[in-house]
Amino acid sequence: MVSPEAIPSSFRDPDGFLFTIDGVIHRQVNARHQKSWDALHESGLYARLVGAGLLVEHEEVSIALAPRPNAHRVIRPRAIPFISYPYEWSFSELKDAALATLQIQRLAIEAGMTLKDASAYNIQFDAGRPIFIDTLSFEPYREGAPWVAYRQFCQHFLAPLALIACCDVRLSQLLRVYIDGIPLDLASGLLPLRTRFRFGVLTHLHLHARSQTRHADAAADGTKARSAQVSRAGLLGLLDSLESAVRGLAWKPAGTEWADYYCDTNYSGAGLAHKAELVRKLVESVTPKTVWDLGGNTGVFSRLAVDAGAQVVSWDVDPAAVERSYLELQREGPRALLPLVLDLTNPSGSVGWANEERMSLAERGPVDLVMALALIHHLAISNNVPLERIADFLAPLARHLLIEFVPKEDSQVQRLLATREDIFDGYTQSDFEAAFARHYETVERQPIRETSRTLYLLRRKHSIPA
Amino acid sequence: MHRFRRHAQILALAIVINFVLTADASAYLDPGTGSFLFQTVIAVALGAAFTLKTYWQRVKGFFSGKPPVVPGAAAKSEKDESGVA
Repeated sequence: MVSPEAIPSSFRDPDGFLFTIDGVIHRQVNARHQKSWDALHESGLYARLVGAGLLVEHEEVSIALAPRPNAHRVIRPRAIPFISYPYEWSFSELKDAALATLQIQRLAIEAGMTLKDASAYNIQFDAGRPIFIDTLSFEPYREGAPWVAYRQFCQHFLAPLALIACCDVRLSQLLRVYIDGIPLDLASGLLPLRTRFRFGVLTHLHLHARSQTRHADAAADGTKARSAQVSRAGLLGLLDSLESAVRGLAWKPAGTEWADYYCDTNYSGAGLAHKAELVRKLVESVTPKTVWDLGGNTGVFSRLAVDAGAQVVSWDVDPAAVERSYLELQREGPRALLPLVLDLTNPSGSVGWANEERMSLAERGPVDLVMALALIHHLAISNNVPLERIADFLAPLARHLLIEFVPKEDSQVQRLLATREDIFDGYTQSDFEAAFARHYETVERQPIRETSRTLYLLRRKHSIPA
Repeated sequence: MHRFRRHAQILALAIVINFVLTADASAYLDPGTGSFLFQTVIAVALGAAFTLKTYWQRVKGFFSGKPPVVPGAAAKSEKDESGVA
């Protein structure tokens, strides 16, 4: 057995922490959390939340596995297939995560418990549904106590949702900078005047932000706040109001880059069908357990990999495409698919305390197969990334690579070159093959019918170090 | 007498420990002074509105012959129908 290793994202809560044994996640529950831990189970809340698919289930393992003293329990939670972060979610993913958090808090109150935090990072997606992963977030509800996580809920959920719905979808990326949620004074300042006529946004963002500013430095207010009381009805009213505010926010993707990409390509019906047939055949030949579809758009080809039995993350730069894919997933029912937003030219980095609280894209790999279909010309031509660099970037991520080469004569590439000088002498099929041959050997090379494009299935020459 | 004093000491210690533990339990997240005070103010009005809403649902349920719908439970049934959490 490899000695236990603490996970860097789990250090703020003194009630316990996460660690891995041989790569498997465990959680130590500290003795100071005993009362809350026992109450979570004795109140029936744990069983109810797990039964509703809202809380990740766990099994208790030997306390002898505890890496640090003062352990009350050691648990092994069911592993979530892929850890994603709020700055990678589409609008509806963030909205569903917010509603799940409120639903959990309401059930907790019913059971005489309460959520002591409301971090969006406590929610993950499993088979397309939001699920709460921090089993230590519950403590007994004390009659009259205000909700300690009210501010956090507004910063992590309501502020970004309102900014997307009422300003611009790109403001979701503020979550990359503010990892404890968007400061309410910033959100309030950015939101247009008309949002002051929406009760939920007015109350929980604008007036809330003003109250924070007013009481920011007053020490006397701190004493007053510690004795603050909120009745049970008041708390339920607060939750009901937050839920109405969240439900009232909507975002309709319009005018973004690629949401209508499949209606606007140079593929003929036969060409697209042939590409789908090749993708299906080549993915099945690899039998991957894990797949990342880079530039996955609305997830048409990602779904072929799901059908082949893989856990698939479908990444795209366009929040509208990701939103459509997620909403489609809700109609389809549970599937091993997770659509996420990612700008490959500036992928999610390691952020937070000591730059290691939230994992970068690369740290969450490698995967058995990376699909990069109709992507390379966007990286090489729109973003001036040399082919060698693209190969160097993908090599540590992908044991196998299913990649489509789109030559210069392709109408999509011509469109990219229409407004700029062609400085891409090194963008040819033989350059492409040479660049990737440094890391990969070719398993299959298939021209796609009625196009000038070629589909490659590549296999790493050397195994990727874990 | 001596035994009584000892029991009293243990009891006092237990109360202090319990107080300290309870105080610590919610101490890890700073709720923010302005947020906390603001919450106490709006919760009065939101609580009253919520109570009225609950009673109104019961009255509606009584006259329509349908079981009362508790706010929040409505959200759950909506979730079940749409499949969206």
